[in-house]
Parts: sequence; structure tokens; C-alpha cells
Amino acid sequence: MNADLRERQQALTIRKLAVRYSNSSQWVLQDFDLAVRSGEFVVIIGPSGCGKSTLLRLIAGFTQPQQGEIVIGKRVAATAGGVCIPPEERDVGFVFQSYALWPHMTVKANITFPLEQKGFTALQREQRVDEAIMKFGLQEHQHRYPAELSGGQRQRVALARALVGQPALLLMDEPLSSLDVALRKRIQDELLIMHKEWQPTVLYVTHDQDEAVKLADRLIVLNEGKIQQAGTPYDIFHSPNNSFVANFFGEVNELVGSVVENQGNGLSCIRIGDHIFILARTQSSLTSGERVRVFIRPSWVDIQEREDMSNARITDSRFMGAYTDYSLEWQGIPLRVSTQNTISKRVGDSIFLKVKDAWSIKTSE
Amino acid sequence: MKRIVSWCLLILPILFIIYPLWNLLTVSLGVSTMQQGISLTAYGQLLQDPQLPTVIQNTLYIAVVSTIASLFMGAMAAILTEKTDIPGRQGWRLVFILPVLLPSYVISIAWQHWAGPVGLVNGWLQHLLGRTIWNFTGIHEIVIVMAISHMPIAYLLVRSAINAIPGHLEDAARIAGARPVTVFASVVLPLTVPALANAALLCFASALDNFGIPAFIGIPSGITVLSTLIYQKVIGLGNGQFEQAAALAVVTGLLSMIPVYFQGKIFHGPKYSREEGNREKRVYLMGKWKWLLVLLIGIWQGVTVIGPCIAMLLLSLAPAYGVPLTLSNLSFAHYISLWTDTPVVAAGLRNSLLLALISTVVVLLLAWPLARRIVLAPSPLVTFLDGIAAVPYCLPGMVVGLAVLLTWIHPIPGTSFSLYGGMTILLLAYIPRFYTFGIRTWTTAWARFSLQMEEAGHVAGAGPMTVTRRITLPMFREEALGGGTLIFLLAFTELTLSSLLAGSQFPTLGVIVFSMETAGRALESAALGTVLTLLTLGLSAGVCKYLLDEKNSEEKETKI
Repeated sequence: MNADLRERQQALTIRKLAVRYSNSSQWVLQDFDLAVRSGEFVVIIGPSGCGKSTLLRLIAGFTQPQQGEIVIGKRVAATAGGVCIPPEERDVGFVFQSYALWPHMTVKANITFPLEQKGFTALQREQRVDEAIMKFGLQEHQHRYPAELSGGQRQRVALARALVGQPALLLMDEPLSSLDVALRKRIQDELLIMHKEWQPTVLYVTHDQDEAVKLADRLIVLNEGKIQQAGTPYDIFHSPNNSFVANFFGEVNELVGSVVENQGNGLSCIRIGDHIFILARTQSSLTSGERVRVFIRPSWVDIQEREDMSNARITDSRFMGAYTDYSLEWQGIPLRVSTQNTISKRVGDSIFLKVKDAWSIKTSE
Repeated sequence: MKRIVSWCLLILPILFIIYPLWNLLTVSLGVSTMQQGISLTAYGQLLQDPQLPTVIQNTLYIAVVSTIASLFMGAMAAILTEKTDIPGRQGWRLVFILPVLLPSYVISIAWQHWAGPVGLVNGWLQHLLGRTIWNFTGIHEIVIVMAISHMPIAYLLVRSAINAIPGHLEDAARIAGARPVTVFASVVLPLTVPALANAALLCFASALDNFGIPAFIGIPSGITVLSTLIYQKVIGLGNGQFEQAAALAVVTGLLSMIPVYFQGKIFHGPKYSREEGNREKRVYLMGKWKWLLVLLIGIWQGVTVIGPCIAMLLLSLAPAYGVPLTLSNLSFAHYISLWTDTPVVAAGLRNSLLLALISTVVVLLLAWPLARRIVLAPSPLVTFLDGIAAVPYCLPGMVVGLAVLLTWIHPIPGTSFSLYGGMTILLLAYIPRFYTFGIRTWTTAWARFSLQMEEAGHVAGAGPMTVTRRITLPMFREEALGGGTLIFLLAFTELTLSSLLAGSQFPTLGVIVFSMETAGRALESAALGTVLTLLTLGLSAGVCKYLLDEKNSEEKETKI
């Protein structure tokens, strides 16, 4: 896969895409825009029913959109009511949730099939398939049937089959969701190595946020058919666009406050309740007096056992292994905090807390 | 209580399945009640019978050709109703399974009036062209009717194999660059091969088993197959005929074991992973061709099923044989005379209903404890009992019937009381014969049932009886109804066993139709055939749903 030969061009462009099922008035996807650069690993994440699998089926060509268009590489693959290139001519790879390995074919036959369809000579096929089998470590299993393989091995066969034809775009629909946690972690690592080596353009759908953060160059959060936020995992975790995104990525304390002063360097002084003043990162446009929503992740708070000062009380604590979760009452406001420090204070004791980081956005109303 | 049930589960099959078959074997070897050594005289005589090679040849020819035809039609039908978007698929599904619900002798009657030498079609053709161009008689007619009546076996098996293929397998092939036709050829077809092989074995076994078709079509035209030969030998009852008939039955039984043997060897087909809840199926768009396909199916079904039924109906309404039917001479006389002039019909109806009802209830009751053990506490013994239960259905009906006849025809030692001639001997044949259907009914239901539902009932404080009554049985209602109706239908229209076992005091409907046909009372047998068809159709409304397993077909279809 000569990444440098392939220009750094758009591998996939989606404009104003909308789709709904024939028997319902509910839009599954609406006003959907997306551009994926060649070689990028884009993860689409959202709760079940958010339209993420439908999106992949649209790109693959199993469903026709009602609005908008899909461009794969430089070729228009589908437009509403117009062009619709059938799946077999779209030059995409697809890894299914169930792997969808053909049970009546050996591993090798499964991997060879796409090349047969694309009219490669026997010699080229042999060469390519052998290379793929080697790269995915399937030499010992190439003459076995899918039923004789373990979950991880099946996963690798599915991946090899999807990549062997060197598609312009690789679509993956929750491919790891049927594996156990340990195996999932291992395959995620393998996926990252694979991506470095083969440099395919990947559009990966999942509902697992740990997986999404680990794999993505760029993350797209989808809910109810609309993009909620797109960006790097870091941006999405630290600066969520709205409370759906904030809550979808781990636990968050969501408080309401008002801007006291926008300091202009991306930070604002914000008042929460009557007595609390904190420094929070903000969108630059905020002005004094504006109502804001403040997000504080449990790990963004530091708690200290100080004899001289206290501003909160412990209402509950739970040991979680690597860290401890505390529920605090912070001047009348409940707050969840997690810390790796060992603290001798018990439930009911007073404690001093300090907010290290916070993110605030305009309230929508 | 539990111990008693366990012992019953063991003793009843030995007494009513193994013992009669063992008895059949010993009779064939000349070891009767008297102290005699084993002798192969009966087999020797059998080999000298000049008829035998022809009979075996006929039997195998019919079985092989009709199997191929059934497979072809069944596979076509399954592809058309499950893989295309032709209009009216649900209706066609019912039409395609119809022949399996009709007793094969009714189809034989209907077909003879439709396409036989003096049938409706020949009449038309003669009228149009002035000469006979259609002359399927004897063995060809048997093959055709057999193929039609066994087609649903292939249809149902191939259909469920096709529906079990996860749609993703086809999607994956599309993505890999295959056009729909290639997807069909390289993914769908290979995955139905195991079902086709299974269907072939079942059709073959059913062809060996069938008595109705060769009896109704073959006997009048002098074509004999193994099942009718056994029947004729028993009915003939010459000197030493019992031994010969037994020997013939043993040979036939061994022949019928061939498909059973292969069934064990067969590649059991792919197992699809269960975790994927997604069972969407892919349907191929036929575009404007779909109307042509519907037309072809219509013609096909019109010729093979609907036409014959109409021919039978028309004949039953004709005033006399050979008189052309018009609106003005339409007559219900034969229906009325069925009740007024022939008291035996009413008796037969009552007998068959009673037999079917008792058999169904007893089979379902006896099968329940065994099925429970098969699913919950499998052991070699339970598996063995399950296997034993299947034997009376795997063996040709004539063999089972003869075994039961030879075993229970003699008065019970020490008394002058004989079971022959009444309902009991029929039940002793019907219940073992259909036992395996009862087991299948309950094991299918159990397989879908999660034991945790029962456990939840126990935890909530209910005893075993309450749990069975309030939780398990209500959830099994649908399966029990479907399976029960199937057993009822089979027993109600039964002919093979009752042709040997029903004495003149206790005739069944099947036997009555058979004797009417032999006596040449074509109009009355057509009328009774029509009545039977309508009764069967009414009863089978529930079975259709069960056979087609609606739960699966209601699932989403995605067009590709």
C-alpha cells in the first residue's frame, strides 16, 4: 500500500446527506457532512440507534440516500435520486460486526474471493493473498474453515479479506464488540499497528468510548442522526460542545454558573451558586453576566487534607482500585471527584477541594 | 413418581417398538411360537420369486426419479419465495406446502382425474386436437404424483436453510466485488447444499415408505413396488405367506436404512454464530421479470396441484362417470349418498377422528418426559431412547404395520382375547409411529425456552407442577398446537398402517377411500377425496404457520 504514491486527497466526501426508512417519517441521518482524508482513521461514535450503522450501509451502497451525495475518492458514488453505484463497484472494504466470513470457504478462499471478483491473474492473487496471510499471521490457519478459528483469528481474517483488494476506504462496523475485554484490547493494538503499516483510510463505527479514544485520529460524535461534535479525542474530552458529548465521554459534573469576567486568554472567572468562584476555560465569545454551563470532570478536581482550611464535606466514598470515587458536598453543591491519592478522611469529614480545570459553554436557552 | 415415569420411558419402547420388530425378524426366520430352529426358507423363496427383481427395480426407479424431481421443484420454489421479490410470496408459500398436508392417496385420485388416461386434460386435448398426445400411465404417473407430493419436504428444508443465511454474508460478497448473480452462486447456493442433501435423503425415504400412490395408481395398472408387494402378500395370506411377507419386510426395512445411514455421514452444514441478532435476509429484485415469474409459478402450481384438485371436485359433482358436467346437471348426489347409502363412511369418519385424537394426546403426553430429559439431562440412555423412537417412522409404514400385525394378531396367551380388529391394534401402531413427532415438538419448544424462566418460577416459590402448568406449558402453547395438529392430520388421513390393521369392524377413512377406489366407485371416492381435502385444509391452517415458522419470515427483508 504505497501511501506516498496516493495523493493526500479526500478519500471520502459526504455532503448534506439525509436518509430515512421508507415506512417512517423519522430521519435516521440528517444534514450530514463529512470529509475524510486519505490515510486517516476516523471513528464515529454514538449510542445505539444514532444512525452510525446506517451511515456505513449508505457509504457501502446498500442503501440509497434521500438527500445529499457521497463521493468516494474522486467518483460520485451516490446522489439522492440519481447515481447509485452498486456496492461491488464502490472500491470499499467492510468489516462486519459478525465478521460475515463465508462458512463454506477456507480462510485462504475467503481472502482470495475479493481478488477473484476484481479480475486479478492467478499469479497476482497468489502473491497478494500470501502477503496478506503473512501480515495477519494466518499462515497456520489458511486451510482451515472459519468455524475452526477463535474469535480473534476470525477478526484477523475479516480484516485481511477487507484489505486485500486495497480498497480506497475501509468501513468497520463495531468489529470488536463480540470479543471479550482482554482480546479487544489486544486487537485494538493490532489494528493500530496495521494502520501504521498499510495506511488505509478507515471509517470505524463503535459505541465504546475507550475504543474510540484509543483508535481515532479524529472522532465524530453522532446522536439522533446529527453530528454533535467532530475533533481529536483530546478536544472532545476536554472541550465538549454540549452536555450530550460531555456525558457520553465518561463521567462529568455539570453545573450552572455565570461569567464574572472573561480574561481574554481563553479563561473566564465564573461564579457558581452564591459563593463559589472558579477559573474555567471558555469559548472566547463569552461576555460578563452570561449564563454558562460548567463541566468539571471528576479527575479535574484535587482534594487535600488540610487542617487549616476546608470547603467541602465527604458524603460518600467508594474504592475503585486504581482510584477512589468521592461524593462531596461543595458549599451546597454535590460534586463527584476521583483521586489516586490516599486520603484518611471518612464520610462526614470536612475536606479542602481545588478545581484544577473546568470547561464552560453558553447555555442553550 | 419420577421412578415410575423413568421405567415407563424405558419399558414402553421395548414392548411396543423393539419387541414387534424383533418379532418380525424371528417370523421371517421361521422361528414362530413353536420350537423351531432358524431357517432362511422364507428368504430363499423370496429370491426365487420372479416378480422380485422387477419390484425392486420399480421401487428404486420411482424413488430416484421422484426424488430428483422433488428436489428440483422444492429448491426452485424456495428460491422464488425466499430470495426474490415476486408478489404474493406469503400466498405462494402456502400453495407450495399444500401437497404435504394432503394425503398422498387424495393427490393420486385428483391427479388421475386431472391428467390420467381419461382425465380432464386428456379430454380437453382430445377435443382440441382430435388425438391423445398425453399419455402418462403406470410408473410415470406414480413418479409424477410422488414428486408433487414430496416436493414440500425439499421446499421446507431448502427454505429454512436459505433463511438461516445471515444477510451479512451476502453483503460481504457484494463489497468484495461480486455482482448479485455471483453472490447467489458463490454464497447462497453452496450454503444450501447440506439442506439439499438432507432433502434428497428424506424424499428418497418417503418414496420407499409411500403406499398410497402405488396402491391407488400402481395396483390397477399392474405396477408393483415393495410396499404394495408386502400388502398383497399379507392380504393374499397363502401358505407360508406370513413368513415371506415378513422376510420381504425385513429386506425393505434394510433398504430403507440406506438413507438413514447416509444422514449420519452427511456434512451437517454451517453453524452460524448465534450472537448476531441480525437475521435480516437479502431479497433479489426481479424488476419487471417478477410478473413473468408469477405467471410461471401460477401455471406450474395450476398444473400440479390446483388443477388436479379442481378436476376431482368437478368429477365429484358430475351426475355420472363420463357425463360432461354442465351447470344444469351439477349434482351433489354423491356427497349425499356418502352419508345415506354408505353408513361405513360415517363410521370411518368417527373412527379416524377418534384414532387421531387419542394418538395425538397420548403421543404428546408420552413424549413430554422424554423430551424434557433429552434437553435437560442428556445421557447415552436418553439418546438411545430418542433414536429408538425414530425407528418406527424411519422404517417404511408397511414394515411397521406388518410387525405390529404379526405381534398382536394372536390372542394374548392364556385368553381368547385378540387385539386384532379393533381400535387398540391401530393405536399400538399409530402411537409408536408418530412418537418421534411428539418428541420433536417438545424438544423444539424446549430449545427455544430458557430454563431460567422455570428457575425464576421455582425461586418465586412455585412447586414443579405449578411451574409446568403456569409457566412452561403456556409458553409452549404454539409449538404444542402446531406439532399436535401435524400428528392429528397424519393420523387422521393415515392409510398404510390401517390398510393392514383395520379390520372390517373398525375401518378408517383412508381404508374406506381405498376400497371405494378398488371397487371402481370413482365418483364417490372423488367426493370423499374432496371432503378430505377440505377437512385437511381447514385443520392445516394452524400447521402451515408452524411449518413455515412465521417468526422467522416476519423479519425484515432488505432488497439487494
